[in-house]
Amino acid sequence: MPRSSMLRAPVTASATARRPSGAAARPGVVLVAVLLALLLLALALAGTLAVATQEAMLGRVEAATLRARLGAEGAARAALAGWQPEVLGSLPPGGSAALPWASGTGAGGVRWEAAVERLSASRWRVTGEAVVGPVLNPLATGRTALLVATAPGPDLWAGLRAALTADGQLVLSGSAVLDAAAPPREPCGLDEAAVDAAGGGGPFPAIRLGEAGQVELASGATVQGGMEDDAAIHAGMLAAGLGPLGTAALASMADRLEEGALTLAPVADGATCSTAAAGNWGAPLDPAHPCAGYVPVIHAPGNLELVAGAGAALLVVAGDLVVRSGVELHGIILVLGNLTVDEGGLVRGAVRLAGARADVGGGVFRDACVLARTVRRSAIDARPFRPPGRWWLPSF
Amino acid sequence: MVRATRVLPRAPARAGSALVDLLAALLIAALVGATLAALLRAQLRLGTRVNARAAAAEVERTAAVILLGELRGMDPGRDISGASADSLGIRAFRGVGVACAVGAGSVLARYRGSRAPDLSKDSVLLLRAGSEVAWSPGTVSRGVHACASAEEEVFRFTPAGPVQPGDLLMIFETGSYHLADGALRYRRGAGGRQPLTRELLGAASGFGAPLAGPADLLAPGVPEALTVHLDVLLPGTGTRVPLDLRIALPNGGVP
Repeated sequence: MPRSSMLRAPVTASATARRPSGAAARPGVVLVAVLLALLLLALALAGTLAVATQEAMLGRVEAATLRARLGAEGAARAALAGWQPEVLGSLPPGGSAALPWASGTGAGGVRWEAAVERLSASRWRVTGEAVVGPVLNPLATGRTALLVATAPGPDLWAGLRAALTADGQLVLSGSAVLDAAAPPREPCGLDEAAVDAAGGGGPFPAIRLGEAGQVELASGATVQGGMEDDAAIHAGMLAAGLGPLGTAALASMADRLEEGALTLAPVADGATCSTAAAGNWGAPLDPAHPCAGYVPVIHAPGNLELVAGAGAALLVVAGDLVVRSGVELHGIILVLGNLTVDEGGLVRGAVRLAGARADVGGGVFRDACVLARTVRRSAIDARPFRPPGRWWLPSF
Repeated sequence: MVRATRVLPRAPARAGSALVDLLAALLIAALVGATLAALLRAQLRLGTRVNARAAAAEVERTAAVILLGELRGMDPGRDISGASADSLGIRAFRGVGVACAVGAGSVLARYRGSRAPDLSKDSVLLLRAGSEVAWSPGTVSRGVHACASAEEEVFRFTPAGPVQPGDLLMIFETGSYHLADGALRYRRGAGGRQPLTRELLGAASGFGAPLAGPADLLAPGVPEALTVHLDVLLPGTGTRVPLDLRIALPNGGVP
């Protein structure tokens, strides 16, 4: 063996691990390609996530906006649902008030509140507002406004300028009495100004008749205050309602629905008037009774027969009304059908009759005190209703 | 010193191993690459879809917010002056004032709105119990009165008719919304704006016939609701999605 071969460098394991020369020319290409692909993937993912995140944020704002809008509308509706005529009736024109019963806080960070402004004697603006999110940096706010109307007493009394207003056939039999200015049955309990306002500066006739009206008067019947013809009176006008309050609005405001034969009697639980009790139409003959101040708005969608007792109401009867002997009814009475008042029966206040016939054997008295008391105690002059035409207002 | 060395086995013992390594590496790289490419393609498709849906949602949202805001507070019997398949003429309300004080030839009103009253383009709708009268104010200027709350401003108007305290003064401009030529436009006189453009809205967009009720229940011919047809173009997909918005008009239906 040549010495040179003996002297060659030892072959070691490290020598055998050398890469082929070709591979050394493109080190990390796969890694770079993979990293590049991963980068593109990450970019695409990030783009999608960015859009999705933006959409999620917009969706959140949109949901908050919807909640705010619904909350504002709900607050305005709640203001009407919980309307307190006794409280709001004393608000002067130009005045405003927050409505605590329509305000509150809900889960999920929503707060809503409602307020009312009395624009004039008969018009109100109800606003509802809702805020979603933190107080200092709310996510969304909503605001809405409603225009509602009320019917002031003078507008109602203007249509009650006689004991009986009608455009049909009136048959006054027996000892019937129609009186245009009956004195109160007992001390009125209201200030003179209110009673004078309801009186409206009389004197008034006992009967006001339209062109189609006729009167048959028995020898024993009395008409105190005379009769007056008015061509403006007709059945359609009488059936339309009372002043600005249409019949439908009156029906929708009713505290009670009654039909059929009814015995009237006040019902109290201790010192509290049981307004839900059957036949309880207040206690107009007993000023000391807990129900003395209760004068409901009543709608009778059909015929109504009052058999016995006494009561006070703003009464709208879509059918016929019969007042039997011994019954004393105080209030403002609108009858779309026929009217019968038996001998011994008495109606105090005023009656508007749209039907074709009235048979009166008892009494129908125009009583300014009863008219004023009916409006004030039923608070019909401060109950809201939708005015004709526009009532949702643009809100900003 | 000469050291004895041991010669390791050479190539014949490892024949083809580099090739196998290379093939394995290539195979793995191909698998990884294919997976990544598939993921990337799926991701891009998803991104396109998400973008398209976001654009559609944006169209729906924009149209709903604008039209709902304009239409819901209006009285369709009085405030819609003309409705066709591609346009809707309206009184566009910009604020509401309440008359506080009435003087000789001027009225001070507390006001809240999306902008201040502008004599050059605004009219006033005076709302009083049982009546509405529209007029153009002679002058409008800022005023001062204690009746305004913190969120309200006071403006002095020269009225064209009698005004009483408590009357509502609704400030409006007469304008029209158009859904034509693939765009939603608002026009007032020669000016206007274009909230939605033809990149997102197709030519089939338009207004539906207003929905009015029967005469015995509702005011005849007074719309209760309005339908808006949106022909939404989904960007990047070449497809279009029909979307209908039906907007209730709460002041409609009752005379």
